[in-house]
Amino acid sequence: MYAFLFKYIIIGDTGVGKSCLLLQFTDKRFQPVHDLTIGVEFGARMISIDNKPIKLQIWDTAGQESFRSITRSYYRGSAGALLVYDITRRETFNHLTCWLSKYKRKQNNTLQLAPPQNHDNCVPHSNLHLTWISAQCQMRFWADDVDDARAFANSNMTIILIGNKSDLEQKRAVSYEEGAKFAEENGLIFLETSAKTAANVEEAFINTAKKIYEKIQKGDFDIKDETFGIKLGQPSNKVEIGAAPPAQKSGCC
Amino acid sequence: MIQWKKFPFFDKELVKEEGSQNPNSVIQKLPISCTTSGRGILIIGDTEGFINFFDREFRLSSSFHAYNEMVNQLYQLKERNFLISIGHDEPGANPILKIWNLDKMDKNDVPLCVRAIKIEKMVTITSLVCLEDLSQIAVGLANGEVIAMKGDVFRDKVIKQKTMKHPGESPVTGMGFITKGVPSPVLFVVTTTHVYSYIREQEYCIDEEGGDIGNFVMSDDQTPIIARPDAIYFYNTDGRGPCFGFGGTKNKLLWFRSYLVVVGHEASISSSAGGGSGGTASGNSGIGYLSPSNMASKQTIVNIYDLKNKYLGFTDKFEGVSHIASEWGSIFIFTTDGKLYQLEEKDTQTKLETLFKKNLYSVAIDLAKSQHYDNASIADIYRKYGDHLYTKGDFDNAISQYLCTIGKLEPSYVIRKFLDAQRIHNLTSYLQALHEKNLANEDHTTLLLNCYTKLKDVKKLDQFIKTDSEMNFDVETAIKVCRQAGYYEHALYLSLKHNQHDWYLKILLEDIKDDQKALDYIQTLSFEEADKNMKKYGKMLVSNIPEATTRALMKLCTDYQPVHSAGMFGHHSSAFGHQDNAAANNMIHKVEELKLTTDKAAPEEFIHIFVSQPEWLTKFLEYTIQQGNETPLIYNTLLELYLREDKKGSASNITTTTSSSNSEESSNRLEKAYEFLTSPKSKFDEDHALILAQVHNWKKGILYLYEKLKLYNEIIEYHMENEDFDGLIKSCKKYGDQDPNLWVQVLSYFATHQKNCQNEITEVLTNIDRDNLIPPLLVIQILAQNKYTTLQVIKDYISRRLSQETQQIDKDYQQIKQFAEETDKMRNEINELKTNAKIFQQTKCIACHSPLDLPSIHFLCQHSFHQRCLGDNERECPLCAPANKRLLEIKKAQADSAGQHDQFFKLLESSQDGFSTVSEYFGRVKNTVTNHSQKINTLLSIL
Ligand SMILES: Nc1nc2c(ncn2[C@@H]2O[C@H](COP(=O)(O)OP(=O)(O)OP(=O)(O)O)[C@@H](O)[C@H]2O)c(=O)[nH]1
Ligand SMILES: [Mg+2]
Ligand SMILES: [Zn+2]
Ligand SMILES: [Zn+2]
Repeated sequence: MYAFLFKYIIIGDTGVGKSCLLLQFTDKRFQPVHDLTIGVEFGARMISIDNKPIKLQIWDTAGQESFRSITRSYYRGSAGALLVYDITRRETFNHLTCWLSKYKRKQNNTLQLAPPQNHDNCVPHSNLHLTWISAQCQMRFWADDVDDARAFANSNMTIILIGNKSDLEQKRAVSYEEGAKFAEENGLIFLETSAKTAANVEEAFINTAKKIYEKIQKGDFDIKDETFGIKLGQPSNKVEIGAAPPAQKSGCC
Repeated sequence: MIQWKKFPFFDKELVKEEGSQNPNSVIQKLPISCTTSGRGILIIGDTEGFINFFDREFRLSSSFHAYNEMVNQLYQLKERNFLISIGHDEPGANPILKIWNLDKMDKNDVPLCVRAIKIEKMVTITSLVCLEDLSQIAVGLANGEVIAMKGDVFRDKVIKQKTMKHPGESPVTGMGFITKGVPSPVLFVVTTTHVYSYIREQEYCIDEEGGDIGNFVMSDDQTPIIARPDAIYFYNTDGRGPCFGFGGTKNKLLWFRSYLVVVGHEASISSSAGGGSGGTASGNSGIGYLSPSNMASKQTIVNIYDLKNKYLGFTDKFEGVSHIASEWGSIFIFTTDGKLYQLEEKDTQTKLETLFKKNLYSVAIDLAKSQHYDNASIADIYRKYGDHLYTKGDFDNAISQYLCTIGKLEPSYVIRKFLDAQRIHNLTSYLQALHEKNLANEDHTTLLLNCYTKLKDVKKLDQFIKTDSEMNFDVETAIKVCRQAGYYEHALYLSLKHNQHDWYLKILLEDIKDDQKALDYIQTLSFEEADKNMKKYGKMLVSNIPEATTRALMKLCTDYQPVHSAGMFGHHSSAFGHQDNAAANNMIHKVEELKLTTDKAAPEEFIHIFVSQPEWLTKFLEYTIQQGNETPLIYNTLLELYLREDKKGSASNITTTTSSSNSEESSNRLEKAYEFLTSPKSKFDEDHALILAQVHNWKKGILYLYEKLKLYNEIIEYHMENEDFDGLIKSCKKYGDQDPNLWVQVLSYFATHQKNCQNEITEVLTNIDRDNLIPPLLVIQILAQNKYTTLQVIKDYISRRLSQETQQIDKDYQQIKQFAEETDKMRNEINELKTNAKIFQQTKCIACHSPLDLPSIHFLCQHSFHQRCLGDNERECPLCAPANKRLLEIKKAQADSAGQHDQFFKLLESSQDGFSTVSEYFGRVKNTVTNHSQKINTLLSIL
């Protein structure tokens, strides 16, 4: 049994290595062939923080645009998010603002259509082409937000920015400093990892859990409210599968 | 549309009429309304109220009329041969649930109807599920209601029908019980708009999207699966689980083995590209999906997914699918035009071969694993995969596959490949893995280390050698390879860590040439090891660092204690830093565990190692002697050293100018040697010491030793050789008592000497005379050899001798005369005893002193006794018996010893006066003298 269960999601562009990170973390192996995730996959592992057993329930989402509508429903109620880019592909880094804008907006509680002049929020580079891409994706996300207003209830989500494929140093397109700077500006934890060599993979998942655990200690969450993506472990003798919290029950009918 | 790989893992076949090429006519004519299966028989309900049973050959084995109207739902229990059905007996009437016992058929092949329950609601039934023990039956209705029936259907009079879920806008489209891993059964309910779970009648809404009719199925392991236009979602009792984004409308789901069979329509281009929002919108108004006729006309696609291994095992188009079922290891597809297709799964081996042909090894591996192939077979697929990648030149990935063959595939297969290709990096990772799995032999270790050194990958080498995670390798091999490659530090590290003292020292001394460190190391070892290694490496150490080595040896030979100062390791560790210290600490720890007895090595065993360092040997030996740990060998060696140094000194004297200081020094040394030699404590092997003294021509020593060894002859000879007359005389005086012969020798010497030495001869003669050492005749004979000897010299001696002899003769005659007289007297006495009567005049008994009376006994000795006083012994006079006995014994002993010549010679040798001994013996052997006369003659000639 566990003391806490933390729900994580892994997001980021397709091919950045999300599934590989999960596989490395749960199975300690690497999959060289790109098995495009078509939908949402699941993995779990026990870790221990402060001598407490903690179960990480991890949802690995498809990065492909066409699955966005499917994956969106899984964002709800996550305690932690791994936002992944590929250090060898600059565009995956440039898209980070798009991924992040949802949460940003969520935190500001501006669920209405945001004014389009808010560009600097999303476009870190003056490159015209990128500006166009970012503007495009931002437009779509605004629409998504309205469409799926309940998806991101948790403004207290702990996000870690991950620059993956650090083993491909010779192909690096995003410097460590850039990644670190971006993370700092957006209040994220930052790590460069390699799902291939397993470098920093454990740390990525565990540091996030530590952060969440700290927040719990500080009393930042109402742990009974499962929309935060945290569950208290139950004494093993009275396991009740599906014992959903009252919040969900009332929310339905 | 993003799709998985497709493999033809199923064979599709039209089920034909027996003995013809036409479709099965029975099926074709059947107005199928519902199916169920699972117990070796396919059960089909039709719109006319019949329930039909088909066997494996697709013959209608039986059929009975269960309802008057359409059979609506069928559900077969898995563990018991029971069938549950819902249907109508009258149009517009309440539906009736019937429970059939298929084991109990009447003569018309109609199974026994155990129970019939009229459903209270007059609504279309959309779904039916039961628990295996029939304690719960749930019926889902088109109005969104769920009716639960609980109780004992076999006994209870009334089965209560309870509304579990209240009616709503959206109809129930699927239900399932979850019983595994939960404390009480969970009912899972899908409507077109929501998903609910019921735990002990408590309702939980777990999703706000539902599923259309036919779009729900339970997997064999009780995972609820809902198909939606955007994706296929797995659920658990909490809510959504993983999902698979297969777009397109679906109308039927079937779980078959580990496959999900999906009957549907390909997603249109517009709906897939535009994301899910369009699909969700249409899903909300999903009531339209309920009508199967909607689908019937369109082309339908059947996809069989292996969701675990992520591939499509089958995909094909059909002319509208009306029903789908599985039995006898096959999937059956009923088309709207009345045809039945059988999809049969290929066997795993065929599937694997298909995959191999397409070079899809990773899929093959997953498949083999999911089919629980043994490790050897799986390893073989990995090998195939590796071979494939290898031939493509993708060595990096090839090696990852070969890594998975470790333990099954012979490593040389892989090693040879990568050696040939000169892919050292890949080879390294493979060899490393072999070691991690403890499957490496010595050759592998050698090769791996060679790889590291070839790659100059010191980091990896460090890691391999210095990690705490015990890599299993042959330490000695590793040390050898590191050493050969010049990685001495690593070799040292290993030997230190694994207590390979021999290697450690060898490397230090032969490669690194750090004698001091080696010596320090030896001193940390246990006594036995230190002793052994000192013997082995001492010679080298002594010649390189004599002082330190000598000191170490001194310790070793007195009271050895292993040194454990951490400082020494820290001091010498250059490349290793703290790791080395750690190893050293480890060592120290071991050292401390040794018992604290003092051990001593035998110093003489180390003498040979000082071959080039006599000064240090001297110090060493002096020290050992001082410590009282001495043996003759040590004394002798030290003596030799003293003498040899002298010799060496004199040798250098010759080459350089003869300096007085040098000769002084050498005499000092001799003095020292003499002191040493004569010290009362010393324990020389004197014979050996003598040889030494002789070799070094050391007079003082030689004489001392001769004396000590009582080699007086040698002393004399020594003096003779040196013509030291004074010394000769002195020595004779000194030792003449112990060996009078010396005088004789000296006499001969002087007698034969070229020089005139009258004085000496006189002196010698005086001594010979005094002790009467040799007969005068001999003296004269000896002296006759000397031409210088005058009569004057011996006149005194001769005359003295002659007069002495005359006296002696006189004395002897007198004695002879006396003895002759005594003998005569005795003879007379004997004669008298023999011939004359003896008169016994005794009147008193000697024993009791009372007057004799009869009977009495008189002995010849003039003693008389009462017979009674004598007791038994009346043959001998008790008074004279002891004396007689003694006489008899003497006589007997003399007779005995007369034959014992050895004793005689011994006596003769040890006696001062040979003559008297001989004459005494003469006396003894008087009677046997003739026998022995010859021997006596010999004796005389010797004397
Ligand atoms: N060299 C290297 N390759 C990696 C690493 N992580 C992932 N890859 C490769 O990148 C490709 C994509 O990895 P995935 O994990 O499938 O990517 P993903 O983010 O899950 O992609 P989607 O499922 O489409 O969202 C695969 O070919 C991986 O082998 C890494 O750390 N180093
Ligand atoms: Mg993925
Ligand atoms: Zn008597
Ligand atoms: Zn007597």
